[in-house]
This record gives sequence, structure tokens and C-alpha cells, in this order.
Amino acid sequence: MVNLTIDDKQVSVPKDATIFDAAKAAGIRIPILCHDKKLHPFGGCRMCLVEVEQMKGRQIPACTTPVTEGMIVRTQTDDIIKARRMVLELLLLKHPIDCPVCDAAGDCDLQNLTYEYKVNSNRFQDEKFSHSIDYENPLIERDMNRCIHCGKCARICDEIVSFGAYTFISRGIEAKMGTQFDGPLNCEFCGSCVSVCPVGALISRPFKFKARWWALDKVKTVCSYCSTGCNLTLGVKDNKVLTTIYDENQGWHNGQLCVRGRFGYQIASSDKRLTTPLIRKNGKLEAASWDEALTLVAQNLKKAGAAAAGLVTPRLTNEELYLFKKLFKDALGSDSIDHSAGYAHSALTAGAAESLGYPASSATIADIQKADLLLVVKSDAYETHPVIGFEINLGVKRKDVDLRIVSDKKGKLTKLPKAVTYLHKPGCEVSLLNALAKTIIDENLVDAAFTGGVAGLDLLKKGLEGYTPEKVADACGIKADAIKTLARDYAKAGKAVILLPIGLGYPGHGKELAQAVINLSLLTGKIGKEGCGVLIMAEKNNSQGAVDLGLYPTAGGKDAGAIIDGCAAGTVKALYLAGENPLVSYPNQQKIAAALAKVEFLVVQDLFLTETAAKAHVVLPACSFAEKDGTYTSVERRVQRVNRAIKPMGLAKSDFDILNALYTALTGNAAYANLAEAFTAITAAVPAYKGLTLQGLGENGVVVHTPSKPKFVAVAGAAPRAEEGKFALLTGSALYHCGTMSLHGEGPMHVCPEGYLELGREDAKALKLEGDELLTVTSATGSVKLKAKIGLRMPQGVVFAPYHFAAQPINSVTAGDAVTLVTISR
Amino acid sequence: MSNAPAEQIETEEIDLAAANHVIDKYLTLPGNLMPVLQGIQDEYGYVPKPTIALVAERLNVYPSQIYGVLTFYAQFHLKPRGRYIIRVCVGTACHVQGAERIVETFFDKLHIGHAETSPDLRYTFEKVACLGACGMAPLAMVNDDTFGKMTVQKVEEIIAEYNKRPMK
Amino acid sequence: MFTPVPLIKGLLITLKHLFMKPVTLQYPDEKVAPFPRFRGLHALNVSHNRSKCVACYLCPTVCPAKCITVEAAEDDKHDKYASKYEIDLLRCIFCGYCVDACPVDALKMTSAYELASYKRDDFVFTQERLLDKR
Repeated sequence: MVNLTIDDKQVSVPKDATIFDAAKAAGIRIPILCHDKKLHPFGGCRMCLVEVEQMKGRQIPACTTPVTEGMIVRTQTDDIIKARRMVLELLLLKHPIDCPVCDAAGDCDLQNLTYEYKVNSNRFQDEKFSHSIDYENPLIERDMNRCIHCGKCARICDEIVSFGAYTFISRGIEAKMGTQFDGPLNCEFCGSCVSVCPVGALISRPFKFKARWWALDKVKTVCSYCSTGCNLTLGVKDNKVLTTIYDENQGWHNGQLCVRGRFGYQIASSDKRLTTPLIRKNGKLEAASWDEALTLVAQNLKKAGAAAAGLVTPRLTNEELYLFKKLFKDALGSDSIDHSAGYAHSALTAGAAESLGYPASSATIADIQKADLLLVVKSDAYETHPVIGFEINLGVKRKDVDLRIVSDKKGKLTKLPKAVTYLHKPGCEVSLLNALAKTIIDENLVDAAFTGGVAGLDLLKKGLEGYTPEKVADACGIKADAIKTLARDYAKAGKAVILLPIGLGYPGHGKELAQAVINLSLLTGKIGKEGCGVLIMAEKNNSQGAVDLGLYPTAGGKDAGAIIDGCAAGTVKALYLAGENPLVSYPNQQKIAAALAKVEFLVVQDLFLTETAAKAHVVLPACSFAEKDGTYTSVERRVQRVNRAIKPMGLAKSDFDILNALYTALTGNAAYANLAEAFTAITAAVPAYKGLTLQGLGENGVVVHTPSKPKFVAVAGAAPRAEEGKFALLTGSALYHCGTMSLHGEGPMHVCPEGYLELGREDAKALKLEGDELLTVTSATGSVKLKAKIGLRMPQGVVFAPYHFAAQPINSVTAGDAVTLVTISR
Repeated sequence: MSNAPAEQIETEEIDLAAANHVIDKYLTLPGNLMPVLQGIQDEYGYVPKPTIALVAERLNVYPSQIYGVLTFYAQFHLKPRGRYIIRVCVGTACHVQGAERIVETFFDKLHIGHAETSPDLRYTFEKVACLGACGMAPLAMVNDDTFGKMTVQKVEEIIAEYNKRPMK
Repeated sequence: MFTPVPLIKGLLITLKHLFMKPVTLQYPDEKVAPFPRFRGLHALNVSHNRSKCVACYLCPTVCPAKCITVEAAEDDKHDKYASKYEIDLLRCIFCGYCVDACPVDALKMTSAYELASYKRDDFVFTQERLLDKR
């Protein structure tokens, strides 16, 4: 620690702190324009000038000067105020004074400082810039005339997002912030640059001119797309969610968001939302009252009794999920409930539960930056969880984390500096991981002290016999030496984390893969310690909560697959779908459609009239995340509070209220009087959540842990499927989407409006493709038409399609296999 | 819409073998971007767009940053340059001696302005601040040849002379 | 003791006023000419055939009676304009802060003071009605 004096205040700070950090710690505000706490200091704006007595009264920038022992700093002398005024005058020389039409006004650092330092006139005169404004993309408007060259956009895009869209172009007076070839912006559109821009040079187009910053109510809540659990501040006016607001002090991710979180908020206040219950009369869905709809649903559920089944989306809050389970178990006596098509949670509920003793990840997100080596299974970890991807970027760039990627295609992560990618043939992840484990055992790299306490090592050794690197090498297309090196590096790394994304788009990422991954970390003892472990990244905002609360059959009931079969066979009499859209997201669309057409009574409770809801007998309008209170559990088992920002749209009710009303109709009593009571019931029933209170969660939530009972489980890898003349189709997430809900978020839809088939250049050449031509993709299950997207990501013979899109349903060709063999024709 | 920059397929058709060769040469050198770009400019006479994508991919640098470097340094050119580069000094000494008239005569005769290249790629014209031979003001240079005590008459002679020179 | 002096004084005043110019006006036949800085009905200044208002939201922000409703929109040239501009005169207290706040001189207060109406709806002045139609 270093002691220094700032404005007569004694401060003690770590020795790598700057004067700016020290002042902040002492509660002294130093004005600054080019600083963000996530970014490296830049020293570009010269607003943070301070005087240091030891430096003979010279004015030095506080943000780049490290503290020294006994420093005496003054931040508010007359000379400094004069210098800061001059800086502002010089900035205002080129900055247009168009505050009335600038969206940043009110939240503009330059405006605030100009006001604070009373810069009413300018001693200098010059012409303003006349750069053309970039209106090309639908999300970010770039008006470089307003730019003050703080460089924050370029730095955040490089340091955190690792995209590098921006750069300073030219030099001297002609310098400006631009893109490559000074063209329009064409990037991931995460909007990080917009969030840090201190002026209105970069603004959000969906929010353009919608409201003034000071007129917005700011409501802190949690993002409802992926399971990263990013905290979000919603800007609300007139009962509408208008934007998301950046707060560098919010959450573990310091306010950093991805394109979905930042620009996908429109689901809350969309005009397309369901606002009234609908009942099918004479074959058509017609508006009805809640009483009518609930009575009809209750009657039919009662009639079905134990033959009723429920599929629920893990987007609901913990309280709602728990109530859903209670409704089926207590009121109907049915155990046939499930979520995420069953397979998308098996990595946790079957894999981790057996191997670790609890159905959750052992690592937290913070472990990523603390690790020495990071093994990512599938480069898609970035696309499924972009903000975790930013953590990986930071780890690689700042903490020198050794990044290894085992993947069937390249991606953003494989482009990171020094990242080593092991490109394998599709569908042989388990064999490959088994070969790694085998190498670790054969080369005696096992952490004997740790494995001594773990059951099943002998069984694992026996199970791995066939998986020598030499044997696996051929099948998976990676050289045996590379497999051995990876195994050695992983075993020898002091701390290592393995990341495994799972979800509806990744049918191969189930129980076996999770167990193969956990075996690796158990063998080397890299689990249960800081900077070590396995992070199994479930797909949706509350996937981990749904798993923790047991939203799957636990007493012999039907799982998702069996429920669909049961609907077709007539053994399921009534199907209750809460937020799920199986017609688009579950594999084998034809089969799902047939099953839904067959079931006697189908209730869909959703935000929008989805493809599935259109087939229902009763549709109940539910509430989005912005309209309700509750808790979500993120991928690292952080239980966080969601806060209500707006009133429900039209007659819509929260899922909790709907389920509670149904429970009352079925049993005569309400299940819970309120959310708090439901939460208390959860903490009593779920051991991991024991001792939690709603108040105790606070703003940042609480990460819960469970003691682990690790066990080795030998798993068999499937042989990769291949057929001459056929392509291996992989499904997964597009960066801009999460599940099917983001299809109703205007922001993501602006940049990624439709499904596509991504293929490599060699395959494109062989198919004689030139651009985005329409292709017909056919498998044994069915066919779909998709636009071609030619890129550098895909190896030869492998194609990729995102699964989110209802208009281009990829589930009409997939049937739940890890890899689907398809033919492609024009 | 969502194509990453490196994936954009450039329309300009050029042979990338020379650029690849330059990159191979400097691949392991730390801080290799500048020598690579200089090498590419030596090979092609300018830095063609497709080579930027290539350098970005092979050196793992953002294309935007390469573009930033290229526009920062005056030594790099993003457009093809003429076979003969005419530089006329407009520094203090030459200015006093009437450099402006020399410049205008070149503009008239060649139909190109400052920092422009004639369509046949024979000439590129540049005004420069000083060529370091103020005693010979006003001064002009064509590639490495120096012409002192310039007059309007001499401009025509120089152009006539270089029109006869070969393009290769 | 009774003296007629105060009575006479009073009557003299009455008599004097009989020949003075009356302070009352025969409204509505006669009308008051307001002072130059009188704050009456608002008007939006016009430039290039549309309101000068750029929808900066300063007037609704400063308004103590919260009687101004503005909605901004983007025109073909990506410029900001007020797609909706309404003043609820039933709430307005004619303080004139909105005119002071306007950064583009789009708003003024006219001398119009005859604002009575039969219907409450008529007191909500839309942008169309507020435009200065000189």
C-alpha cells in the first residue's frame, strides 16, 4: 500500500493505482472524459490534470500517473481550473453545439463539464468538422462531427470486445475516429462503443429521439436472454421500456453487455405482445376473459389429471418455475414436466449430477480470468454467452491466459491472439476428451492426492482403454501429438477452467460430454479451487434455476421427448406449454406438429402468439421480464433479483399470477400468497438455496455453492458419422439471438433477420456459389431452404445453421442428433 | 450484414504471392507490421486493399488498425502511384521565387492536382514543403532527378522529356 | 355636530369622475390592448413551412405545471422534429418558462387572451393550432 495526500485527505491505495484511482478511493472527483474503469488508462483528454507538489507544480494527468509514497496532490487549484477550462474551450472549438437535437444531452460528459466549469464563451474560433454521418447500420449511428477523440470506443472494441472495428484515421487536424477504409460500421453491434461514448458521437438508433435521459426511470434488473446473468438498467418512460442504460459500476461485468442485452429490450414493450387471453372457438382463436379462459384450462387439466403434462421455458423466474412444478405435482398428480427439450439440460441434470454430486457448474465466471489455461469446448461459447466471451478476451489479453479451443469450426475465439485451436471432425468431442483423459492417465499426470478421494477411477481406466490418442486421432482429424500436447498442457497448468456451452442448438452436448469434461478436471484435481473447474453454460436466463428446482421428471414421469410421443399416442391428454415454442426449437418439426395436432387440449402461455401458440386451444398472455419481480439463477449459480419496470401489457398477467390462479381453481387454495412466500418455500425445498432471503440477495445477487461428491464415470464416444457426398450439418446459436425470444427483439432482428447456412469457401466453390443464394438443405427428416453465407469459419464438408428462426426452421431437418447429414442443392 | 471484416471478399483482383512472400519474411519479427507494409508498398508501388485483409489475417491485427497506420504515415499510399513522381517545393525559399506558378503550370499541363495521379499512371504530382536545396529555388524533382531554378518554360521541357521515357 | 364638508368633498369626487374617462371597457365591443410583454396563448414560430421546434424536450422539462407534451421523430434527412406538440391550457399557468428555455426560439407567447371555450378538449392546443399563422 502507498500513502499519499490528495486535497489534504490521507489516502492509502495499492501501489499499482493511479492518482485518479486514489482520488476516487478518497471520494474526490476528478473530471475526466477518456476514462472507463474497465479500460487501460489513455491520458487523452487532459481534463484530469492535477498538481503534484513534488513535481514543482507541473500539471500532470491523474489517470496515467501512478501513485508514489508521500505524494501531495492538489486537484482544485486556480491554475488547474484554468487549464481545464482551456481544455474544454479547445474541445468545444470543434464540437458542434447541437445539444437540443443530440440524444446525449443530459447524459453528456462534455455538456456536464462545460456547465460545471462555466465555459460560456470561447476565446478561439474555428470551423466545425463536416464529416458525413454514418446511417448505414440500423443500430449505431456515428456522427464523427461530435467526436472528441477520447478513443474509448476503439479501446473497448479492442480490449474487451476484441473486434477492433474502430481506429484513428489520418493524423493531426484531419484525424478522426473511423473504421477500416473509412467505410460504414459493420461489426457485432454489441453497442459497447455507444455505452462508453462521452458525447453524442455514437448513439443508439433504436432509441434515437425517443426520450431524454433525465425523463427516464432507471430500473435495475437482470437480462432475460442467456444464462450469463448480466445486470441491466432499463430506461423506462410512460410504461414503456425505451432503452438500456450503461452503468460502469453495475454487476461483476461492469455494465458490459452484448447485442441482445443492449438492443433486444423491445420484447417488453412490443406492439405484437399478447394482451388478452384467447380461446379457440369454431377453429379460430378469439379474445376471451380471464375467468372464461382459466375455467376452461382448469376443467381440462382436472379432466386429464395425471395424464396432463407440462413443458416450461427456463426463462421464467425461480418462483414461477417452482409454482409450475407444484401445480403439476400437487394439484394434478403428474410428474410429466420438463424443459428445454430434455436433452439441453441433461449435461447438468444427468451429467454433472452424477459426476459432481450436484447439477451445476463447479466454476464461476470470475474463475475464467484467474485461470492459467482455459479449455473451451466449441468456439460457440462466444456466440451463446457473449459477455462470458468478453471475460475470455480479457483473460487472454490482460492475464495471459493460455486459451485452447476444441471445436468443430472456427469462430471469434479462435482468432484471439495466441489462441490454439484443435479443429476436429463434427461429433467426436467425447472421444477426443476421452483421449485427453487417457493421455493424462498413461503419462502419469494424474493428481493422485485428489483422485484418491474420488470413486470410480478403475472403472474410468477400463472405460478409456480404447481411446489412445493414436486411435482417436484418425477418427477426429487431430494429430495424436497435438492431443498429447493439449493433455499435458492442461494437466501441467497450475489452474485451468473448462467451458462447455449447452443448449437446444447443441444436441451433442449432453450427459456424456459433460462427464468426459468433468473426468478431465477430476483426474488433474482442477476442481473446487480458485481458477479451476468446469463451467457448463446452460442456454437461457434461468436454465440453472430450472435445473436446481427440479423442473424435469424425477419420479418416473415423462420427459420432454416422451411427452411429445405421449401427445401423439394419446397418453398425454392435456399439454401445458409455458413459454416453450417446441414447433420451432425442438428437433423434428414434423413430429412435433403431428403431436400438437393430436393432443386433446393444448394450452400455451406466452408473450407472443408464437407458431406453437397459434395451434393452441387456449392462449394465456404472460409477462416479460420487465413486468415482473422474482429471481433468476445464472450459469455460475448466482441467484439475482429481477425487478419490475413497467406495468403488464393489456390484460397480460405474470406467469406467477396465472399459475397461482390455476392452482386456486384446481385446489381451492392459492399455492402462495405472494412471491416472497414462494421464495421462502424454495429455500426450504432446495438445499443449495438454503438460507437465502430476498433482501439478502441485494443488488449483485448471491452465488450459492453445494458440497461436491465427485465420481469418475466412464463415457463412450460416438463414432463420427460421415457419408460420401453429404455435408455434416451443425446447429447452434447465432451471436445475435438466444432461443426464439430474441426474434421479437427488434434490435437483434435488424442485424440478423433470418436463418442462413454457413459454409466454407472450398465448399462454396464446389457448389459454384457466389453470394447469398438460396439453398435447399435436405436430410432424412425433411428439408429447409436457407440462404448461403460464405465465410472462413467452416472446415470443408461441414456446414452450420442457427436454430432460432421460425421462418427458416432448421428443426425440420434435424432430429436431435449431434450431427445431421444433409445434402445441399440449389 | 454480419460478415466479419476479414471475411469480406475483396473485389480488386491482384496477385497476392508477393505480399505473402513479404509477410513470410517478417512473420516472426516482433513489431512486424511496419516492415511488412513497407515491403508490400515496395512490391506493388502502393498498398492494395486485398493485401490489407491478408496482412490482417496472417499477422492477427485488426484491418481497421492497419488502415489507421496506413493513413497516419505519409509514406504509405492506398492508391496506385504514377511511374514518375513529380515533387515541387513550395517551401519558403521556393515560394518567394514563385513556386506557385510552377505548380500551376504543372496542373495545367498534366491536368492533375496535388497528390493526384494521371489516369495513364505516368505521373503523380505532389507539392512538398522542402527538398533541402533552397539555393536552387524554385526546385522540382522527378523521381530522383533534381531540376533547379525552375521556370514555366522548363516545366514544358521536363514534361516533354518524361513523356518519352518508358513506363516500365 | 353635523358639517356638510365631508359630504360635499365626496360628492365633488363623484362629480369629477362623471367627466373622467371610464376605467372599464365595454367588452366585448371594446377590447384591452395588452402590454407588449403580456403572456397569452403560446405560438410556435414557423420556418421553412414547419414549426421551428426541434423537440429538444426542454420546455416539458422546465414546465412547472407539466402541461406540455412533446414527441420527437426523425425526418427523411435524419433531423429531429416534433411529431407531436401539445399544450394543455387548463394546466398552464402562463409563467413563460417554456419560452425562456427554448434554445431555438421556436416558442413565443402571443397577446391572445380570449381563451374561453365550451369543451374541455378544446383547451388542449395541438401543434397545428399552435403554429404561428401570420
